[in-house]
Amino acid sequence: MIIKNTSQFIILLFSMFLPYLTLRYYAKQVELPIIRELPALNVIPEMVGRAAEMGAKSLWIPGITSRVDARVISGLSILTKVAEEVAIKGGEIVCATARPVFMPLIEDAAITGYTAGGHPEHKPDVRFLTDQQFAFCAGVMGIIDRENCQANFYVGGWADEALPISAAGLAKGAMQIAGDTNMYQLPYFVCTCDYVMIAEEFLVSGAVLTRDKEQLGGIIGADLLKYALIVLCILGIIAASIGSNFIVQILSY
Amino acid sequence: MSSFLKIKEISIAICALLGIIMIGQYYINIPAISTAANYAQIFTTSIAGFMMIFGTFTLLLYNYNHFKKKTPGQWYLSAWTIFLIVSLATIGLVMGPDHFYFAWMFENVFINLDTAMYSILGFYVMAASWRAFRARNIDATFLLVSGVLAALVNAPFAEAIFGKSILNVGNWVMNVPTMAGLRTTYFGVALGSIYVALRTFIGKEIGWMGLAKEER
Repeated sequence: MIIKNTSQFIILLFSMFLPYLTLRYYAKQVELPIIRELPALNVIPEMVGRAAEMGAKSLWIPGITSRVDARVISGLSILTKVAEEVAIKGGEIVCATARPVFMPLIEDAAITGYTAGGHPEHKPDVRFLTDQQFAFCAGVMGIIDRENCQANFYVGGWADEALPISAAGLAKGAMQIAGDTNMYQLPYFVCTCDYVMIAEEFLVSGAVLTRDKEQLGGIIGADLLKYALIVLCILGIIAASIGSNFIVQILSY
Repeated sequence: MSSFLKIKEISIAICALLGIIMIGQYYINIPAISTAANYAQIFTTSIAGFMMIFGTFTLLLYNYNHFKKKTPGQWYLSAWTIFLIVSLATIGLVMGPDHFYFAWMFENVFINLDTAMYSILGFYVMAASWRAFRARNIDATFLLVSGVLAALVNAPFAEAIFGKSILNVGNWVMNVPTMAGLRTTYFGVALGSIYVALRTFIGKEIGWMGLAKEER
Protein backbone atom coordinates (compact mmCIF):
# COMPACT_ATOMS: atom_id res chain seq x y z
CA MET A 1 0.00 0.00 0.00
CA ILE A 2 1.39 3.37 -1.02
CA ILE A 3 -0.08 5.32 1.92
CA LYS A 4 1.16 4.43 5.40
CA ASN A 5 -0.20 5.81 8.69
CA THR A 6 -3.52 6.18 6.84
CA SER A 7 -5.68 7.71 9.58
CA GLN A 8 -3.07 10.33 10.46
CA PHE A 9 -2.64 11.14 6.76
CA ILE A 10 -6.40 11.69 6.37
CA ILE A 11 -6.45 13.91 9.48
CA LEU A 12 -3.50 15.95 8.15
CA LEU A 13 -5.15 16.44 4.75
CA PHE A 14 -8.43 17.44 6.41
CA SER A 15 -6.57 19.83 8.75
CA MET A 16 -4.96 21.54 5.75
CA PHE A 17 -8.00 21.37 3.48
CA LEU A 18 -10.50 23.19 5.72
CA PRO A 19 -8.28 26.27 6.35
CA TYR A 20 -7.46 26.27 2.62
CA LEU A 21 -11.19 26.28 1.74
CA THR A 22 -11.93 29.22 4.06
CA LEU A 23 -8.80 30.99 2.77
CA ARG A 24 -10.08 30.69 -0.82
CA TYR A 25 -13.61 31.68 0.26
CA TYR A 26 -12.45 34.91 1.92
CA ALA A 27 -10.21 35.72 -1.07
CA LYS A 28 -13.43 36.41 -3.01
CA GLN A 29 -14.99 38.53 -0.25
CA VAL A 30 -14.63 42.29 -0.04
CA GLU A 31 -14.50 42.83 3.72
CA LEU A 32 -11.93 41.56 6.18
CA PRO A 33 -13.06 38.63 8.32
CA ILE A 34 -13.44 39.52 12.01
CA ILE A 35 -10.55 38.12 14.04
CA ARG A 36 -9.92 38.87 17.72
CA GLU A 37 -7.29 41.60 18.17
CA LEU A 38 -3.95 40.49 19.61
CA PRO A 39 -2.80 43.21 22.07
CA ALA A 40 0.82 42.04 21.78
CA LEU A 41 0.83 42.89 18.07
CA ASN A 42 -1.04 46.18 18.43
CA VAL A 43 1.55 47.49 20.87
CA ILE A 44 4.58 46.96 18.58
CA PRO A 45 4.53 50.54 17.14
CA GLU A 46 4.29 52.01 20.66
CA MET A 47 7.20 49.88 21.90
CA VAL A 48 9.48 50.76 19.00
CA GLY A 49 8.49 54.44 19.22
CA ARG A 50 9.22 54.51 22.97
CA ALA A 51 12.64 52.94 22.43
CA ALA A 52 13.41 55.40 19.62
CA GLU A 53 12.43 58.38 21.81
CA MET A 54 14.68 57.09 24.60
CA GLY A 55 17.57 56.72 22.16
CA ALA A 56 17.57 53.01 22.99
CA LYS A 57 17.66 49.92 20.78
CA SER A 58 15.13 47.21 20.04
CA LEU A 59 16.11 43.57 20.45
CA TRP A 60 14.69 40.56 18.59
CA ILE A 61 15.65 36.98 19.47
CA PRO A 62 14.29 33.70 18.04
CA GLY A 63 15.37 31.63 21.06
CA ILE A 64 17.65 28.61 21.16
CA THR A 65 15.72 26.29 18.82
CA SER A 66 17.90 24.69 16.16
CA ARG A 67 15.26 24.20 13.44
CA VAL A 68 13.42 26.68 11.28
CA ASP A 69 9.98 25.53 12.41
CA ALA A 70 6.57 27.20 12.66
CA ARG A 71 7.69 29.20 15.71
CA VAL A 72 10.70 30.70 13.96
CA ILE A 73 8.67 31.50 10.83
CA SER A 74 6.09 33.29 13.01
CA GLY A 75 8.91 35.10 14.84
CA LEU A 76 10.32 36.25 11.50
CA SER A 77 6.92 37.72 10.56
CA ILE A 78 7.03 39.75 13.77
CA LEU A 79 10.61 40.82 12.98
CA THR A 80 9.41 42.13 9.61
CA LYS A 81 6.81 44.29 11.38
CA VAL A 82 9.33 45.48 14.00
CA ALA A 83 11.86 46.40 11.31
CA GLU A 84 9.16 48.30 9.42
CA GLU A 85 8.33 50.30 12.56
CA VAL A 86 12.05 50.91 13.22
CA ALA A 87 12.41 52.24 9.66
CA ILE A 88 9.45 54.59 10.21
CA LYS A 89 10.15 55.74 13.77
CA GLY A 90 13.93 55.60 13.84
CA GLY A 91 16.24 53.75 16.20
CA GLU A 92 18.03 50.48 15.73
CA ILE A 93 17.19 46.82 16.02
CA VAL A 94 19.63 44.16 17.20
CA CYS A 95 18.88 40.56 16.18
CA ALA A 96 20.81 37.96 18.20
CA THR A 97 20.77 34.28 17.31
CA ALA A 98 22.31 31.06 18.59
CA ARG A 99 22.07 29.38 15.16
CA PRO A 100 24.13 30.78 12.30
CA VAL A 101 21.88 28.99 9.83
CA PHE A 102 19.12 31.48 10.76
CA MET A 103 21.24 34.51 9.89
CA PRO A 104 20.31 34.85 6.19
CA LEU A 105 16.61 34.43 7.03
CA ILE A 106 16.78 37.04 9.79
CA GLU A 107 18.65 39.43 7.53
CA ASP A 108 16.10 38.98 4.72
CA ALA A 109 13.13 39.42 7.07
CA ALA A 110 14.65 42.63 8.46
CA ILE A 111 15.35 43.93 4.95
CA THR A 112 11.72 43.19 4.01
CA GLY A 113 10.60 45.30 6.98
CA TYR A 114 13.02 48.14 6.30
CA THR A 115 11.91 48.20 2.66
CA ALA A 116 8.25 48.26 3.66
CA GLY A 117 9.05 51.16 6.04
CA GLY A 118 10.66 53.16 3.23
CA HIS A 119 14.31 52.64 4.16
CA PRO A 120 15.74 49.81 2.02
CA GLU A 121 19.26 51.20 2.58
CA HIS A 122 19.27 50.20 6.30
CA LYS A 123 21.64 47.34 7.14
CA PRO A 124 20.26 44.84 9.66
CA ASP A 125 22.41 44.20 12.75
CA VAL A 126 22.31 40.38 12.96
CA ARG A 127 24.67 38.82 15.50
CA PHE A 128 25.61 35.21 16.04
CA LEU A 129 26.75 34.86 19.65
CA THR A 130 27.30 31.16 20.33
CA ASP A 131 25.39 27.90 19.97
CA GLN A 132 25.82 27.02 23.67
CA GLN A 133 22.60 27.66 25.59
CA PHE A 134 23.81 29.44 28.72
CA ALA A 135 26.69 31.20 27.01
CA PHE A 136 24.08 32.59 24.61
CA CYS A 137 21.93 33.54 27.60
CA ALA A 138 24.84 35.42 29.21
CA GLY A 139 25.67 37.11 25.89
CA VAL A 140 22.11 38.37 25.38
CA MET A 141 21.88 39.58 29.00
CA GLY A 142 25.09 41.53 28.34
CA ILE A 143 23.64 43.09 25.16
CA ILE A 144 20.44 44.13 26.99
CA ASP A 145 22.48 45.78 29.74
CA ARG A 146 25.30 47.39 27.74
CA GLU A 147 23.31 48.55 24.72
CA ASN A 148 20.20 49.60 26.69
CA CYS A 149 17.62 47.58 24.75
CA GLN A 150 14.18 48.97 25.64
CA ALA A 151 11.89 47.13 23.21
CA ASN A 152 12.55 43.42 23.43
CA PHE A 153 10.89 40.71 21.33
CA TYR A 154 11.41 37.11 22.49
CA VAL A 155 9.61 35.25 19.73
CA GLY A 156 10.58 31.74 18.66
CA GLY A 157 11.53 28.48 20.33
CA TRP A 158 12.70 28.94 23.90
CA ALA A 159 14.08 26.73 26.65
CA ASP A 160 15.68 27.41 30.05
CA GLU A 161 17.32 30.63 28.87
CA ALA A 162 13.88 32.29 28.64
CA LEU A 163 13.69 33.42 32.27
CA PRO A 164 17.18 34.93 32.80
CA ILE A 165 17.02 36.84 29.51
CA SER A 166 13.52 38.23 30.04
CA ALA A 167 14.35 39.02 33.70
CA ALA A 168 17.38 41.02 32.51
CA GLY A 169 15.05 43.05 30.26
CA LEU A 170 12.61 43.55 33.14
CA ALA A 171 15.42 44.79 35.40
CA LYS A 172 16.38 47.28 32.68
CA GLY A 173 12.79 48.62 32.55
CA ALA A 174 12.21 47.49 28.96
CA MET A 175 8.84 46.83 27.34
CA GLN A 176 8.83 43.19 26.33
CA ILE A 177 6.78 40.87 24.12
CA ALA A 178 7.20 37.10 24.16
CA GLY A 179 5.74 34.34 22.03
CA ASP A 180 6.31 30.61 22.19
CA THR A 181 4.50 27.28 22.10
CA ASN A 182 6.61 25.70 24.85
CA MET A 183 4.15 25.56 27.75
CA TYR A 184 6.98 25.11 30.27
CA GLN A 185 8.57 28.48 29.47
CA LEU A 186 5.42 30.57 28.96
CA PRO A 187 4.73 31.01 32.72
CA TYR A 188 8.16 32.63 33.10
CA PHE A 189 7.44 34.95 30.21
CA VAL A 190 4.09 35.85 31.80
CA CYS A 191 5.97 36.86 34.97
CA THR A 192 8.54 39.02 33.22
CA CYS A 193 7.04 40.36 29.97
CA ASP A 194 4.35 42.98 29.31
CA TYR A 195 2.60 40.97 26.60
CA VAL A 196 2.75 37.24 25.87
CA MET A 197 1.39 35.40 22.85
CA ILE A 198 0.41 31.96 24.03
CA ALA A 199 0.79 28.99 21.68
CA GLU A 200 -1.61 29.32 18.71
CA GLU A 201 -1.92 33.10 19.13
CA PHE A 202 1.77 33.28 18.31
CA LEU A 203 1.54 30.93 15.33
CA VAL A 204 -1.22 32.96 13.64
CA SER A 205 0.52 36.29 14.33
CA GLY A 206 2.10 36.28 10.85
CA ALA A 207 -1.33 36.11 9.24
CA VAL A 208 -2.81 38.74 11.58
CA LEU A 209 0.03 41.19 10.92
CA THR A 210 -0.48 41.11 7.15
CA ARG A 211 -4.18 42.14 7.47
CA ASP A 212 -4.62 40.00 4.35
CA LYS A 213 -8.22 38.77 4.13
CA GLU A 214 -7.17 35.39 2.65
CA GLN A 215 -4.75 34.62 5.50
CA LEU A 216 -7.23 35.84 8.12
CA GLY A 217 -9.88 33.66 6.48
CA GLY A 218 -7.61 30.63 6.89
CA ILE A 219 -7.54 31.24 10.65
CA ILE A 220 -11.31 30.87 10.64
CA GLY A 221 -10.86 27.45 9.00
CA ALA A 222 -8.41 26.44 11.73
CA ASP A 223 -10.94 27.62 14.34
CA LEU A 224 -13.68 25.52 12.72
CA LEU A 225 -11.37 22.51 13.10
CA LYS A 226 -11.06 23.32 16.78
CA TYR A 227 -14.84 23.33 17.13
CA ALA A 228 -14.89 19.92 15.41
CA LEU A 229 -12.32 18.66 17.93
CA ILE A 230 -14.39 19.98 20.85
CA VAL A 231 -17.47 18.16 19.50
CA LEU A 232 -15.37 14.99 19.10
CA CYS A 233 -14.12 15.30 22.70
CA ILE A 234 -17.69 15.72 24.03
CA LEU A 235 -18.88 12.72 21.99
CA GLY A 236 -15.92 10.71 23.32
CA ILE A 237 -16.79 11.63 26.92
CA ILE A 238 -20.45 10.64 26.41
CA ALA A 239 -19.51 7.39 24.64
CA ALA A 240 -16.98 6.43 27.31
CA SER A 241 -19.52 7.23 30.06
CA ILE A 242 -22.08 4.80 28.59
CA GLY A 243 -19.39 2.13 28.11
CA SER A 244 -18.92 2.43 24.34
CA ASN A 245 -15.51 2.71 22.67
CA PHE A 246 -16.99 3.70 19.31
CA ILE A 247 -15.08 7.01 19.04
CA VAL A 248 -11.81 5.33 20.08
CA GLN A 249 -12.31 2.69 17.37
CA ILE A 250 -12.93 5.36 14.73
CA LEU A 251 -9.79 7.28 15.74
CA SER A 252 -7.68 4.08 15.87
CA TYR A 253 -8.65 3.10 12.31
CA MET B 1 20.93 36.50 -2.76
CA SER B 2 21.20 36.50 -6.54
CA SER B 3 18.41 38.07 -8.57
CA PHE B 4 17.49 34.65 -9.99
CA LEU B 5 16.91 33.16 -6.53
CA LYS B 6 14.99 36.29 -5.54
CA ILE B 7 12.21 35.29 -7.94
CA LYS B 8 9.38 34.64 -5.52
CA GLU B 9 7.94 31.59 -7.25
CA ILE B 10 11.28 29.72 -7.31
CA SER B 11 11.86 30.21 -3.58
CA ILE B 12 8.31 29.12 -2.77
CA ALA B 13 8.58 26.08 -5.08
CA ILE B 14 11.87 24.92 -3.44
CA CYS B 15 10.41 25.44 0.03
CA ALA B 16 7.14 23.64 -0.78
CA LEU B 17 8.89 20.75 -2.55
CA LEU B 18 11.27 20.11 0.37
CA GLY B 19 8.40 20.43 2.84
CA ILE B 20 6.24 17.94 0.93
CA ILE B 21 9.18 15.49 0.69
CA MET B 22 9.86 15.72 4.44
CA ILE B 23 6.18 15.22 5.31
CA GLY B 24 5.77 12.62 2.56
CA GLN B 25 8.43 10.26 3.95
CA TYR B 26 6.19 9.74 6.98
CA TYR B 27 2.99 9.03 5.03
CA ILE B 28 3.92 7.77 1.56
CA ASN B 29 5.51 4.37 1.02
CA ILE B 30 7.70 5.16 -1.98
CA PRO B 31 11.46 4.49 -1.50
CA ALA B 32 12.44 7.46 -3.72
CA ILE B 33 10.73 9.88 -1.31
CA SER B 34 12.53 8.39 1.72
CA THR B 35 15.85 8.61 -0.14
CA ALA B 36 15.17 12.22 -1.13
CA ALA B 37 14.26 13.06 2.49
CA ASN B 38 17.50 11.46 3.73
CA TYR B 39 19.52 13.48 1.21
CA ALA B 40 17.67 16.64 2.25
CA GLN B 41 18.63 15.99 5.87
CA ILE B 42 22.27 15.39 4.90
CA PHE B 43 22.26 18.66 2.92
CA THR B 44 20.75 20.47 5.89
CA THR B 45 23.41 19.13 8.27
CA SER B 46 26.18 20.07 5.82
CA ILE B 47 24.80 23.58 5.36
CA ALA B 48 24.50 23.99 9.15
CA GLY B 49 28.16 22.95 9.50
CA PHE B 50 29.31 25.50 6.93
CA MET B 51 27.13 28.15 8.50
CA MET B 52 28.84 27.56 11.85
CA ILE B 53 32.16 28.58 10.21
CA PHE B 54 30.39 31.61 8.70
CA GLY B 55 28.86 32.48 12.09
CA THR B 56 32.22 32.26 13.87
CA PHE B 57 33.76 34.47 11.20
CA THR B 58 31.04 37.12 11.63
CA LEU B 59 31.49 36.94 15.42
CA LEU B 60 35.24 37.54 15.04
CA LEU B 61 34.64 40.37 12.58
CA TYR B 62 32.07 42.05 14.84
CA ASN B 63 34.39 41.91 17.85
CA TYR B 64 37.41 42.96 15.81
CA ASN B 65 35.54 46.11 14.69
CA HIS B 66 34.75 46.99 18.31
CA PHE B 67 38.35 46.35 19.31
CA LYS B 68 39.64 48.48 16.42
CA LYS B 69 37.29 51.37 17.22
CA LYS B 70 38.01 51.06 20.98
CA THR B 71 34.24 51.16 21.70
CA PRO B 72 33.81 52.28 25.33
CA GLY B 73 32.67 49.46 27.62
CA GLN B 74 32.97 46.90 24.85
CA TRP B 75 36.49 46.79 23.35
CA TYR B 76 38.16 44.83 26.15
CA LEU B 77 35.32 42.26 26.14
CA SER B 78 35.75 41.94 22.37
CA ALA B 79 39.52 41.49 22.79
CA TRP B 80 38.92 38.75 25.36
CA THR B 81 36.38 37.02 23.07
CA ILE B 82 38.81 37.09 20.12
CA PHE B 83 41.62 35.74 22.31
CA LEU B 84 39.48 32.86 23.59
CA ILE B 85 38.10 31.89 20.16
CA VAL B 86 41.51 32.00 18.48
CA SER B 87 43.37 30.20 21.28
CA LEU B 88 40.77 27.43 21.68
CA ALA B 89 40.46 26.94 17.91
CA THR B 90 44.26 26.85 17.50
CA ILE B 91 44.76 24.32 20.28
CA GLY B 92 41.88 22.19 18.98
CA LEU B 93 43.03 22.27 15.35
CA VAL B 94 46.77 21.85 15.97
CA MET B 95 46.82 19.46 18.92
CA GLY B 96 43.45 17.77 18.44
CA PRO B 97 40.28 17.83 20.54
CA ASP B 98 41.55 15.06 22.84
CA HIS B 99 44.66 16.98 23.87
CA PHE B 100 45.08 17.82 27.56
CA TYR B 101 45.08 21.62 27.07
CA PHE B 102 41.89 21.59 24.98
CA ALA B 103 40.13 19.17 27.35
CA TRP B 104 41.31 21.22 30.37
CA MET B 105 39.89 24.47 28.98
CA PHE B 106 36.62 22.78 28.12
CA GLU B 107 36.15 20.84 31.36
CA ASN B 108 37.59 23.33 33.84
CA VAL B 109 36.51 26.61 32.30
CA PHE B 110 33.53 26.20 29.99
CA ILE B 111 31.58 23.53 31.90
CA ASN B 112 31.99 25.38 35.21
CA LEU B 113 30.78 28.66 33.75
CA ASP B 114 27.87 26.90 32.02
CA THR B 115 26.85 25.19 35.26
CA ALA B 116 27.12 28.48 37.15
CA MET B 117 24.75 30.16 34.68
CA TYR B 118 22.31 27.28 35.02
CA SER B 119 22.46 27.54 38.81
CA ILE B 120 21.53 31.23 38.67
CA LEU B 121 18.24 30.10 37.14
CA GLY B 122 17.09 29.01 40.62
CA PHE B 123 17.24 32.58 41.91
CA TYR B 124 15.35 33.88 38.88
CA VAL B 125 12.64 31.24 39.43
CA MET B 126 12.30 32.43 43.04
CA ALA B 127 12.02 36.07 41.93
CA ALA B 128 9.45 35.16 39.25
CA SER B 129 7.43 33.12 41.77
CA TRP B 130 7.45 36.07 44.17
CA ARG B 131 5.93 38.28 41.47
CA ALA B 132 3.40 35.67 40.31
CA PHE B 133 2.20 34.30 43.67
CA ARG B 134 0.37 37.36 44.95
CA ALA B 135 -3.33 36.96 45.67
CA ARG B 136 -4.42 40.22 44.03
CA ASN B 137 -7.69 38.84 42.66
CA ILE B 138 -9.60 35.56 42.46
CA ASP B 139 -7.61 34.28 39.43
CA ALA B 140 -4.29 35.05 41.12
CA THR B 141 -5.53 33.29 44.25
CA PHE B 142 -6.24 30.12 42.24
CA LEU B 143 -2.72 30.38 40.81
CA LEU B 144 -1.25 30.84 44.28
CA VAL B 145 -3.08 27.81 45.74
CA SER B 146 -2.20 25.59 42.74
CA GLY B 147 1.42 26.74 42.84
CA VAL B 148 1.74 26.04 46.57
CA LEU B 149 0.20 22.57 46.10
CA ALA B 150 2.55 21.79 43.19
CA ALA B 151 5.51 22.95 45.30
CA LEU B 152 4.42 20.83 48.25
CA VAL B 153 4.12 17.70 46.06
CA ASN B 154 7.77 18.11 45.11
CA ALA B 155 9.01 19.03 48.61
CA PRO B 156 10.30 16.05 50.67
CA PHE B 157 8.93 17.41 53.98
CA ALA B 158 5.31 17.87 52.78
CA GLU B 159 4.29 14.24 53.35
CA ALA B 160 5.90 14.18 56.82
CA ILE B 161 4.02 17.29 57.95
CA PHE B 162 0.65 17.11 56.14
CA GLY B 163 0.36 13.37 55.47
CA LYS B 164 -0.45 11.55 52.23
CA SER B 165 -3.61 13.54 51.51
CA ILE B 166 -1.68 16.66 50.47
CA LEU B 167 0.20 14.60 47.88
CA ASN B 168 -3.09 13.26 46.49
CA VAL B 169 -4.53 16.77 46.16
CA GLY B 170 -1.32 18.09 44.60
CA ASN B 171 -1.11 15.19 42.14
CA TRP B 172 -4.77 15.70 41.20
CA VAL B 173 -4.06 19.37 40.38
CA MET B 174 -1.10 18.33 38.21
CA ASN B 175 -2.80 15.39 36.48
CA VAL B 176 -6.36 16.66 35.90
CA PRO B 177 -6.81 20.46 35.50
CA THR B 178 -3.21 21.16 34.45
CA MET B 179 -3.13 18.26 31.99
CA ALA B 180 -6.52 19.25 30.53
CA GLY B 181 -5.29 22.81 29.97
CA LEU B 182 -2.03 21.62 28.43
CA ARG B 183 -3.76 19.24 26.03
CA THR B 184 -6.19 21.87 24.74
CA THR B 185 -3.22 24.14 24.12
CA TYR B 186 -1.41 21.35 22.26
CA PHE B 187 -4.48 20.98 19.98
CA GLY B 188 -4.17 24.67 19.15
CA VAL B 189 -0.40 24.41 18.61
CA ALA B 190 -0.82 21.45 16.24
CA LEU B 191 -3.50 23.23 14.19
CA GLY B 192 -1.51 26.47 14.22
CA SER B 193 1.63 24.66 13.01
CA ILE B 194 -0.32 23.02 10.20
CA TYR B 195 -1.72 26.42 9.20
CA VAL B 196 1.79 27.98 9.16
CA ALA B 197 2.95 25.06 6.95
CA LEU B 198 -0.02 25.60 4.63
CA ARG B 199 0.67 29.34 4.35
CA THR B 200 4.34 28.69 3.67
CA PHE B 201 3.67 26.02 1.01
CA ILE B 202 1.16 28.13 -0.93
CA GLY B 203 3.42 31.18 -0.77
CA LYS B 204 1.47 33.39 1.62
CA GLU B 205 4.14 33.46 4.34
CA ILE B 206 6.98 35.21 2.52
CA GLY B 207 8.39 37.66 5.08
CA TRP B 208 11.61 35.61 5.33
CA MET B 209 12.43 36.05 1.61
CA GLY B 210 13.68 39.63 1.86
CA LEU B 211 11.45 40.92 -0.93
CA ALA B 212 10.64 44.54 -1.61
CA LYS B 213 6.98 45.58 -1.25
CA GLU B 214 6.35 45.58 -4.99
CA GLU B 215 7.86 42.07 -5.34
CA ARG B 216 5.59 40.53 -2.70
